[in-house]
Amino acid sequence: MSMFPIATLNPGNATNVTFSSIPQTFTHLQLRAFGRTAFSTADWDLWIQLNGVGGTSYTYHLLFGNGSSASSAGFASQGFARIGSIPGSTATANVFGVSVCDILDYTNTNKNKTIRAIAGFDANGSGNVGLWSSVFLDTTAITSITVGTANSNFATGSRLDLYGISTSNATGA
Amino acid sequence: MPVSLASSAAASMHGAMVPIASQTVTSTTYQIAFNNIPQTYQDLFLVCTLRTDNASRSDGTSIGVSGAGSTDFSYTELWGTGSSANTARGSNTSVILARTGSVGATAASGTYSAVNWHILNYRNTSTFKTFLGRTASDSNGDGAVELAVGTYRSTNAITTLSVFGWNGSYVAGSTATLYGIRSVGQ
Repeated sequence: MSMFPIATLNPGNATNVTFSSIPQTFTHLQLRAFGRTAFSTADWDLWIQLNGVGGTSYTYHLLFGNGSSASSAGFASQGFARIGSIPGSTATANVFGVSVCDILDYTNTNKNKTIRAIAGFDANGSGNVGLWSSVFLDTTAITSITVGTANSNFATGSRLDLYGISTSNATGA
Repeated sequence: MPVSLASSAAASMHGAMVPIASQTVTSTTYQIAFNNIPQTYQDLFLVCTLRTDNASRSDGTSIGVSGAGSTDFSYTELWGTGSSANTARGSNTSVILARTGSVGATAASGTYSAVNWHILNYRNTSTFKTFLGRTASDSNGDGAVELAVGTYRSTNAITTLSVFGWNGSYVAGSTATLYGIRSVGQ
């Protein structure tokens, strides 16, 4: 099994950005996000949408710790999959959150798509770390991934890298 | 002494994940260190199997950077032991801690923890460095699964990494392998 870089996006101050025309030659995808939002808050959601589909096509669960309490929650009929939370503009400067997000069997047209993420950030007295899992209730192969923060902009310095994971000798970009 | 793995060039045979160096502990040691880390990748990925001589079935593991100040780090942890889910935070620390990240001396023989650390954007000189760790250990009646996130509050590029036992030292058979994760065009 090998991992190959597909594309990199630097969101700048965009609200959301999209990896489009994703090659259908891999078995799994991995999105590696290094992010911060310009929204005036301590922390904020990081989300993805697949194939431009929103509506009620996603459900997600999370297991989450913030240094004070460990908690779990579930959400049904959502318009996006959550892949973590990132610091906002009131968090310590230069701190960025990270998310390592896997989408397994993304080309399989017999399966809904399961999304798994480990993510977190620490701002020296604030922050959180956790596991997020989502399902995209759609068997269509994934050809695009839109990444965004909820109703806010990315902060400069954020970066998104998409990788394909192959179980064959297929190569990427 | 780290073993430099054959050819870290970004050959297509390696794909995005390129082995940099690997170490296997042969005699009890306080730390496992990687120095002179190449500045040619996007991210780093450290994969470890760990056991310490702590007189317990479990121990922690920590990660740091050579030359860092004693208060340059902070971290948040989330861990489950089979009986409870817990979270904790450390501020102004010298390392990032995953307090359940190793097994100790009285764990079942031949048992080691499995530990991964992601360090994204490790050579970016405009941002602080975020570490994301995942650890797992089980010794048939003891053990834990843990996530830890930490920040190295420095814009310096990371050129060294060290992992340390929390209460004990790493014993023979413990391993650590450092990979570079390359991005498009690297």
